[in-house]
Amino acid sequence: MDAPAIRVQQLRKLYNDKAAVDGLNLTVERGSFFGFLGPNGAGKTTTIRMLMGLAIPTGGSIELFGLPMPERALEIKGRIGLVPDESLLFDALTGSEFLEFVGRMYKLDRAVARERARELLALFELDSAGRKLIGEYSKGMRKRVAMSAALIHRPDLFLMDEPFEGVDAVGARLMKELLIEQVNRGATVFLTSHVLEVVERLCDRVAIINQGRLVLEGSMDELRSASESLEDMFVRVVGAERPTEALDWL
Amino acid sequence: MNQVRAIVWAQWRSSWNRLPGINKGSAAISVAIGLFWYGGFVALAIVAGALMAMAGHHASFAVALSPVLLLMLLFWQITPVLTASTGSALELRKLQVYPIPKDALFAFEVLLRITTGVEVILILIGAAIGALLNRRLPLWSFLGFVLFILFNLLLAVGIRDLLVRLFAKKHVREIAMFLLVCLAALPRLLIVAGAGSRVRAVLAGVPSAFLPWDAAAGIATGHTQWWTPLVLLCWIGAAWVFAQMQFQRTINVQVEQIDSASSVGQAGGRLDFLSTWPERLFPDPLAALMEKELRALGRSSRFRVIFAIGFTLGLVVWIPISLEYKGQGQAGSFAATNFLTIVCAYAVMLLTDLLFFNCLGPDRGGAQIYFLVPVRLDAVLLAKNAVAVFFVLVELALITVACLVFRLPVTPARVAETFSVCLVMTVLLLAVGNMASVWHPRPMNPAQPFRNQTSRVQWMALVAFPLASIPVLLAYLARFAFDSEVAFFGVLAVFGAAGAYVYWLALEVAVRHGELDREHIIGELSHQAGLVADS
Repeated sequence: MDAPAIRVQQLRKLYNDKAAVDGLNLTVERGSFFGFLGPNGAGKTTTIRMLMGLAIPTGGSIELFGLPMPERALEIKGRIGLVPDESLLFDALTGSEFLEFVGRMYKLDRAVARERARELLALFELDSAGRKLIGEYSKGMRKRVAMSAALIHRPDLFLMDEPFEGVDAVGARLMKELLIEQVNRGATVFLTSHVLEVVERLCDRVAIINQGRLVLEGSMDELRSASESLEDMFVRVVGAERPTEALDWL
Repeated sequence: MNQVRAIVWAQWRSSWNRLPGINKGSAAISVAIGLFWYGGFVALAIVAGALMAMAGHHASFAVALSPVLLLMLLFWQITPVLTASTGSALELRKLQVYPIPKDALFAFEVLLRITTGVEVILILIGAAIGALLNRRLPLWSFLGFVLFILFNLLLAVGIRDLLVRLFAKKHVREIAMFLLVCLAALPRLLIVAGAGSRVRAVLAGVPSAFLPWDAAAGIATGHTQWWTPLVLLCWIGAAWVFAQMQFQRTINVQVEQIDSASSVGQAGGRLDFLSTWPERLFPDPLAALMEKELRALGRSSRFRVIFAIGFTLGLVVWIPISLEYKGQGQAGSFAATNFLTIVCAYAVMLLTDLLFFNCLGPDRGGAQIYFLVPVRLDAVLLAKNAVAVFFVLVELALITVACLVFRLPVTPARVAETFSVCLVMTVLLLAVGNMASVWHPRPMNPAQPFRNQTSRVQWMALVAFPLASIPVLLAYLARFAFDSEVAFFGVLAVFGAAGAYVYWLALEVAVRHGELDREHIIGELSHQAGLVADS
């Protein structure tokens, strides 16, 4: 049987003795659309950064496709597609140049990388941007380029940190359709998002993290069988109900 | 006033809050180098104070002081251009959204100009204290130095804002660069062209006390006419009007435009093929990384300005010296004989910060990608180093061609010597630079033509550059001692081989540290400046 796409055990990350992630255990099976939720500062981004290899865990283990991270980092990275925040892009390259560059980083032949870059730009309606540099792109355009870069090498696992943030409705819809297609072909999507409606619609499994610890995990069907909505459940498990009348001056 | 205090506080907090993340070792080195550098100027200030305290009430003293003040003015105002560094500046984009009076911003900006003239200010304050202690001078003589500082501060505001705006605009930037070079070259070229005596005659016609440094020297030594202070005040007034005009224009310009689009070069131009050559020589990912680097640097305003300053200002300073000696038929001095090597070494020194000592800086947050894709960090650093060597070679070739155009005595032996010297220095600088790049990465806006501040890395460069020059000096020493070219190139070859070994060792250390300290590197490179830009 194939190893799961992601398996983390007792994952821990300390910043100045403060635990950002505290003993996280998580398994994401291949071919699933996994939603990873939590309030601001809960440890979502730290977790995803550790999965990406950007942050080194203080303790615990990470395995992607059965390969240990960071020991087999290069092999693992070759199978991952990432959509982190758009600061990852190089402002002095055009969208096409950037995609070609990323493709070649994933060992695609130059001609293949260039052709795929052209097709992806056309798909995301960025082909008209032509010789425009990424530094001149709008936030939504930057996000589309980041998404294209995640797709160019046809990865087996997508790690996505707020992929729909700043993207217009048309772009967001396109991205969602693409991700669903990827899951249908057997790829795995690991997604963080604050937009619970999106998570509810796309994901087949959800985990909620709070203060670095896993507080809830289950399939979407299990959660739907409960009487409350995902939003109500989220607010309840993270204990985020606060009175708003405290600020009389507002 | 509250707002100015708030700006100072916010800036102080943004710097303070970052302290825990600063590498202790590099911070200690920075402090040591800072102490060495500014300690030297404090010593000069003490000397200046002692001289002023002992000075007699002679007119000849005012005559001697005047050119010294002129030199200080030139140092203060021209150094930022020569080093492409314009000192700290307010982040107007972040401040313009708040109801802050423009006068308050202007006052703050004037104070920030201290950052480009700290060295000169130290000496002038020392001299002012000396003047105060000298009982043979009038009590008010110290005001000559104080007013001269004020004049320079205001002038620096105007020049900075003018330069930053000019260099932010496409096409205008190139014209501005050309005019700047012509302006810098003009005095020497006039002298070389034989027009020196006529120029001197014209200058002699200008009453000396009407020039700001003369007026300041007159006040500082007590040799004044009743109108001398008035002259200096008029100059200060003119500088204030100039500074105000330039500052207002900078505020009115869409700051957004300056910072981004208009400052970034055009993509896909006719010269774009120049960035694709690595593909024919190297395999991926090295070739892809090199191509990216060639494109990104080629489109960076900052890199282009520094690259252009390297071969233009260096040439205009040294070519006239060489021409002068040639014209007079004298045996050249060391500077005139070795002008090609000196100009090239100066050009390499200018490129140090961008190409060697902070090679991840221009990528800013984008540097994350090097840790995300299946590429080893040594490939990234190797690609960046290879492109750095390429640009150094292009710079050297351009300088050589320019020298040939000017019909300077450039022999093949001299060219070989220059290239060998600069390459040995480059290898050593790359070795130190790779470590500096991962130990002390700083985000650098490649679209900003001028650096804002003399950073710790620049101070580090100030130390590393003389160190990298030691093998070269030893090679020259060997040539002098043995009167042999073989000895010169032999010593260079030995140090070149040793440098290459040091380079590989340093690369390995840098990669190991970079892999382990990736979070710090990414965090630093994604960091945004506070209200006063400090990168």
